[in-house]
This record gives sequence, C-alpha cells and structure tokens, in this order.
Amino acid sequence: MTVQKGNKEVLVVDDDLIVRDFLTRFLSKQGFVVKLVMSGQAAIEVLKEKNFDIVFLDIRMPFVDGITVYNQIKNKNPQLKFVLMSGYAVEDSLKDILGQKNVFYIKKPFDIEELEEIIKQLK
Amino acid sequence: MSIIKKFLFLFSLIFICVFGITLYIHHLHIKAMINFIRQEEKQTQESFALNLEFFTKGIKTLAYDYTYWDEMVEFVKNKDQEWAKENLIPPLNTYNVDFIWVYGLSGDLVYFVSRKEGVKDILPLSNLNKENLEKLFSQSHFKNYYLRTKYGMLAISSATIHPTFDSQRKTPACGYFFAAKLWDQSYLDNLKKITRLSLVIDYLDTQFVLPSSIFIISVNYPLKDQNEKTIGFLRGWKELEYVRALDEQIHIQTFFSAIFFIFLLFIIGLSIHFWVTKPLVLSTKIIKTGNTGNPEQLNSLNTNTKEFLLLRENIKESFNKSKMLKEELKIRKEAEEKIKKLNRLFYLLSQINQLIVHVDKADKLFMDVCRLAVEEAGYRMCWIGLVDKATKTVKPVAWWGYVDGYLDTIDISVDSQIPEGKGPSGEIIRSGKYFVCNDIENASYMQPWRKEALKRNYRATAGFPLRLGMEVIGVLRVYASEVDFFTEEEIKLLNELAGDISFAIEYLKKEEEKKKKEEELKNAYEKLKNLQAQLIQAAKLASLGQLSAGVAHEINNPLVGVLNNVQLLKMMLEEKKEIPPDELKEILVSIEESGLRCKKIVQNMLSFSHASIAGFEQVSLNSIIENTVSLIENEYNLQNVLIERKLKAELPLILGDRQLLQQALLDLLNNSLWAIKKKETSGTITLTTDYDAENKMAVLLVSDTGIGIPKENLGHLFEPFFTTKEVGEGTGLGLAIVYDIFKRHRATIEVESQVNLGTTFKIKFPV
Repeated sequence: MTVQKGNKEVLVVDDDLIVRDFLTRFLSKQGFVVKLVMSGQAAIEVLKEKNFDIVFLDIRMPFVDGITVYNQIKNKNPQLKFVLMSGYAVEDSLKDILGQKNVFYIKKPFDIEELEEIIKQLK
Repeated sequence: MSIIKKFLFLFSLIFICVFGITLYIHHLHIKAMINFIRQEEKQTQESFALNLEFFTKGIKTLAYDYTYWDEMVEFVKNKDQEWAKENLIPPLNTYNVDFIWVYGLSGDLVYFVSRKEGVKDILPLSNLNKENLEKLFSQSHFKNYYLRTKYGMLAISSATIHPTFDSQRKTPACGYFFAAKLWDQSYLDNLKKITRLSLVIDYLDTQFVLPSSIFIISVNYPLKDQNEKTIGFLRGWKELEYVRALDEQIHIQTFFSAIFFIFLLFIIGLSIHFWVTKPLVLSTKIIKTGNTGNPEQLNSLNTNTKEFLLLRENIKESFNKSKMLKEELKIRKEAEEKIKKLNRLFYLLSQINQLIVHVDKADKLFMDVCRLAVEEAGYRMCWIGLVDKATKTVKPVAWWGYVDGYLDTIDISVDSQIPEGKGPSGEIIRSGKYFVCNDIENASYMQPWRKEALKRNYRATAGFPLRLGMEVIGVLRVYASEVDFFTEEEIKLLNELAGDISFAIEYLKKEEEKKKKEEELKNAYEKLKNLQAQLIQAAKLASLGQLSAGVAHEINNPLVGVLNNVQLLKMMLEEKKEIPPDELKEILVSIEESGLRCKKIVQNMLSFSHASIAGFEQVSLNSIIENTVSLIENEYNLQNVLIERKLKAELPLILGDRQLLQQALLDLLNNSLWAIKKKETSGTITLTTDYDAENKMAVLLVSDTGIGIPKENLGHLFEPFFTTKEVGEGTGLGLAIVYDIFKRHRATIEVESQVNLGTTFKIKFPV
C-alpha cells in the first residue's frame, strides 16, 4: 500500500498493526510516499537498500528495537530524518539521541497538532 | 608414791637416824668428858689444898711451937739479942719461914729477922700498936692471915707468947710472935712444880680472866686478912691437854665416820638410782609416753641389768605394737575426718547443684552459695566478687559468715600494675587459676591482709575463678578458721563447685538472653506480621506499578487506534471531502478493535489490582494463568521472551484467592524474566498445568531457560530479603511473598534448578 505525494518517501516501522494502519492513512493524506515494515530487523534491511527521507520508528519492538535501528542507520544516510515513537512516558534510552539533528520524538497516542507540526518541519 | 620418793624417804630416814645416833654418841661423850673434867678439877682442888696446907704448915708450926716457951717469955722481957741470934735464926730454915717478928705487950718490936736478902724493911706489923695487937688476938691466941706487900703476898701465922707449961695458953699473953712466908715468884714456882698448875696471885686489882676452855680446870684459894676480909686469891689452873687431844680425836673420828657413812649412803643411793630407779622410771616414762613420745627414748634405757634388758625388749615389742596400732588408728581417724569433710563438701555440692537447677537470678544464687558454704561446709566466711570492667575492680556481690567489715578493708583490682591488683583475687582473675593459702599467719605473701584476717580468725583461705565462657568474670573466696584446712580433695571439689557456679552463670545469662530474644522475636514477629501485610500490599502495588508501565505501552497503541483514528476522521470530515465507505469502515473497524483491546487490558488489570472481597473461592488455575499472562505477554515479547502455555484441559478448580494467586504468578514470571535476561537476550518461559489424580493435586510448573540458581542459594530462596540481584534490581521480597501466598493455599513448592540451564518451580495445590 503506497501513496504518491511529492517526492518524500516515508518508512513506518512499528510492530503494532493499529499504529501502522493509522500512520499509513494519516501520512498518505499528507502527501508522503509511505512504506511499512513491522520489525526493526526488516527496517534495517530496507533502509540499507533504499534511501528514505523520513523514518517513523517505534522504539519498543521485540528483538531489534528502534534505538538499534537508529544507531545502525544514522551514519549511512545523514539526510534521513527520524521520528521516534513511544507509548512510554519517559524513555531513558533516548537521552543521547534526542536533540540530535534530524531527530524528532512523539508520544503515543499522538497529539495530532504535534504530529502536524513535525510533518510541517519534515516537508 | 613413786619409787624415787620412797627411796628418798628411806634414805632421809636412815640419814636422820644416823645423824641422831651420832649426835647422841657425841653428847654422851661430851657429858662423860665434862664429868671427867669436873672430877679431875675436884681432885686437883683437893690436892692443891693439901699442898698449900703443907706449904704453909711451917710458919703455923713455928708460931705454935715457939710461943709456949719460957725462954721466949724471958726474951720479950730482956730482949737478949744473943739469945735471939742463937734461938730465932736457925728455925727460919728448919721451918722454912722467911720472917720472924716478936712484939712486946705494949706493941714494941722486940725482934725481927728476915731470911730474904734485900727484904729488910718489910714491916707488915709496923702499924701494929698495943691496941691493934690486943684486938688481933681478942678472939684466939692464934691468928693466920695474909698481908699484901710490895714484895708479894705475905702468909702470916701469929700467936701470943706464953710460959712453957701453959700449952693451953691459959695465962695472959707475954708477948706476940709472928712468923711469915713471902709468896714471891720463887715460892710460886716451887708450888707450881708440886701442883703442876699455873699459879697466879690475884690481888683483885683487876678482873682476873681465866683462859676459856672446857679443858681447863682451876683452883681458887681465898686469901684473907686479919679481919677475915678477902684481899686476894691464889689462883691455879691447868689445861687437860690429853683430854683435849682425846676430844679432838673423837671429834675427828666422829666427823670422818659421818662423812664415810654419808658417802656410803650416797654410793648406795647412786647405785640404787642407776641400777634400779632410773631404768625403772625411764621404763615407766617410756611406757607412759611411748605412744606419743619419741621412740628413740628406748635406746636411752641403756642398762646392763638383766631384768631391765628384758623389760626393754618387752617395752620395745609392746611399743612397736602400740605404735602400729596407733598409726593405724591415726590413719583411720584421718580417713574418717577426710570422708566426713568430703561428705560435707559433697552435700554442699549437691545443695548448690539443686540450687542451680531452681534458681533464676544470679544475685540469689550467689547469696545462697555463700550461705550454704558457711552453714553446710563450715567455712568461717565465703564471698563472691564480680569484675567491674569499667573500673577494673572486683566488687563483692554476695557474702556470708563472719565478715565483720572485712570486705570493706580490702580493695581488689584486676590491674597487675597496682598494689590492689597483686592480691590473690586479682591473680585468680588474671590467670584463671585457683589459689590456696593454708597458713595465713606464716605466708609472706599474705602480709597485706594478715592483720585483718587474723583479727577475724581466718587461718586459711582459697579462691576460685568464676567464668562466663572463656572469660573470668569473678571469684569465689572461702576462709577457714583452721590452718591446713584445704586438702587436695577439698580444693578439687571446690574447683568443681566454682565450675558449677560458672555453668549456672552462663546458663542464667543465656536464659536471660533467650528470654530477651524471645521477647524481641515476639515483638519482631508482630511487627513483621503487620509489615508483611503491608508488604504484600506494597509488593502488589509495586507489581502493579511495574505492570502499569508495560500496560501503558499496551494501552497507548490501541489508543492510537481509537483517538488518532477519530481525530483523522474529524480532519477528513472538516476537509469536507467525501470519505469512501470502504475506507470509513476500515477506520471504524480499527477504532472498534482498538477499543476492545483497551477494554480487555483494563479488565485484566482490574482483576489483578482489585482488593479481594470474597477471599477464598473456587478458582480455575488455567484462567488465572491466562489473565496474568495476557497482562504481560506483549511486554515479555518485546524483551524477546516467549511465554509458552501447556495448560491441562478440564483442570479441577482449586480453593484460592484469585488476586493473590495472580500476584504470586506474576512475581514468578518476573523472576523468570529476570533470570533469562541475566543470561542472554532471549528465552522461553513455559507454564504447565497438570492434575495429579493420585494425590488430588493441581500442579503448576513455571520453567525458564535462565541462569539457574546455585545449589548453595536454593535453601535461601524463599527467605525475605534474600536476593542475588544487584542493588536496585530487586527488594528480595518477591519470592518470600510468593512462598507465603502459596503456603496460604496449603500448596507445596519445590524448586529444581541447574546453573545456566534454567529453573523450574513446581507448585502443588490441593484440590
């Protein structure tokens, strides 16, 4: 399920179907080309083969979590922008990552306005 | 009466008899001698008188013969000197007369003639006149008298002159005739020769003193003048020398006889003494004192008398026998004394042991020990002192007997550096060894305490350490009023006694500590019980908190589905764009699913956290597992831990508290998760239920593939606060609470574990 919108391509990485569904729908409506993967492992493989503009990355995933994916990919494609997502109030593991260039963070469930603000910056 | 006294008496008697007889003989001898002397004296006096008469006879005869003669009458008248020469001078020699005087009647001296040369002027009659002459012859015609002259005593015989025929002198006197003999020295010498007497004329001018001796006999011849007046004495004496010699001889003989006799007596006495009485007395003495005296005395019975030698042998034999008997008696008596003393001590020991069993306070024990030691064991005084660690001194805590302020006079320290620490008690406490002094009076080291001790008649003392474990904490001191009171056995028993007291102190201390600990434990248990209740609740809440974190994530994802989809729909409606029905339905379905997921999560959470009101009820173990797992499965999966379920269908219900069981299971699962994560990044937890029909048990197995539990920790597994987790990882309460919860369900818990392979908890619930 891909939707064309300009030339910005987005990869959504989440193990939860509900989240993947929503983001696909929402980002498509914003004109992004959205690709989905449901595990960290899959995301690393996809991101190594193809350059995306933006990655919506869930932090908590079995086996390979979002932090691992970020650490492996960030140097490969410095232009790639990361939107890190988490259902937890505070993520200790994010301390070093937040504030870095091209890194955004948003809590689940999403604050629509906050989400729109991030998307505005991403465009 | 002893034989010595008898002999002494006998000898005294003999001595007195001999002495008496000797005196008597002496007396007879003296008497005989005196009689002899008197007789001799008498004879001498008689012979002296006769001699004197003979010597004076010449003048008397002359005076008598020449005075009745006519020629003499004629001569007085005519004074014919020729006639006188012819007739009156020759008689001087014939009659041995020295002087002749012839007086006429008128007192005129008619004639005087002297035979003595140089004695011409001797005129004893010169003072004679007619009157004096008449007076002289007034009584008698003859007159014999003595007259003192410067030449000596003159013995005079005188007579009146008468005619021849008139021998009777009847006619008147015609004249007077005097004849005299001069007693001069030559006369006395002659007289001496005849009488053999020492002679002297005593004129009474001086006190005449005869040589004094009973052997001297004397004669006294009075010399009288014409008037019959004594004008002197012719005194004669002589010593009876042969009598004196005889007397001296007798004296010497008597004396030597006496000496000889005394000597003889002495020799006899000595012989009797050495041969009879001395050995006899010695034998008696040995027999009398032999039992207690020195047996060497026997050798002093050194005699060659047959009888005494025999006696000595007999004494020796009987002495040896009696000595043996006596020693035997002594040994027996000593043994009896010892047994008596030991019995008393044993009694004391048993009394104190009884006391130790019953006593519950150390103070009372100490006091009773002291009292029993004095009353039952006969010590004069007993005291117990304990070490005061703060002051390093020994304080008496109990005493009994004759104390009289003694304990106030002594200061005891355990410090060896100061004088108060050098005493027996200080030494006992430092060394842990007992102390004995069996003679306080003569032991030099007791000097500091001697005066006070002897004042109270403490003659011997001993001390024993009291211990608490290895440490000496006090001292038991006893005092006796007899020297050498403490025998080896006594010391041994007293030492045992001190050991028993030490044991009691330890026991009492332990009892006290035990009581204290029991009390503390009881309090702690109460506290713990309260705490446990709180802890269970807290742990539950802690589990909930942990759960919430996971659940938050769980619930946030479906919230995306609900909230964000609704917002998306709103946005789409606001854009006034037509929403394709398929898409709308898709969104709505997603919203619905999300809502349902939220509901389920909330339900499970509620079922966990709700306080159980119903308490124990019939619950399904399987459903509890499902509910619990559903809460955490996602979370576990996220951490790469799979939860496998092998649940037995139609498992019988068990009686339990759903909420508690869920909590216990959750804790077990958390534990497994931790064990897996400690080993590697992923693993599996297997939950199995089964039914043990034979024992009617529902069995729950929780296995993991974690690090396992080392054998040494298996025993501590369910102890509160036991944990191998690092600080901050866990409280160590988890498994303790789990254990408690399962125990409440009367479940048994077994743990099997292999290091690095995994752990299985096996819980069996009664059905």
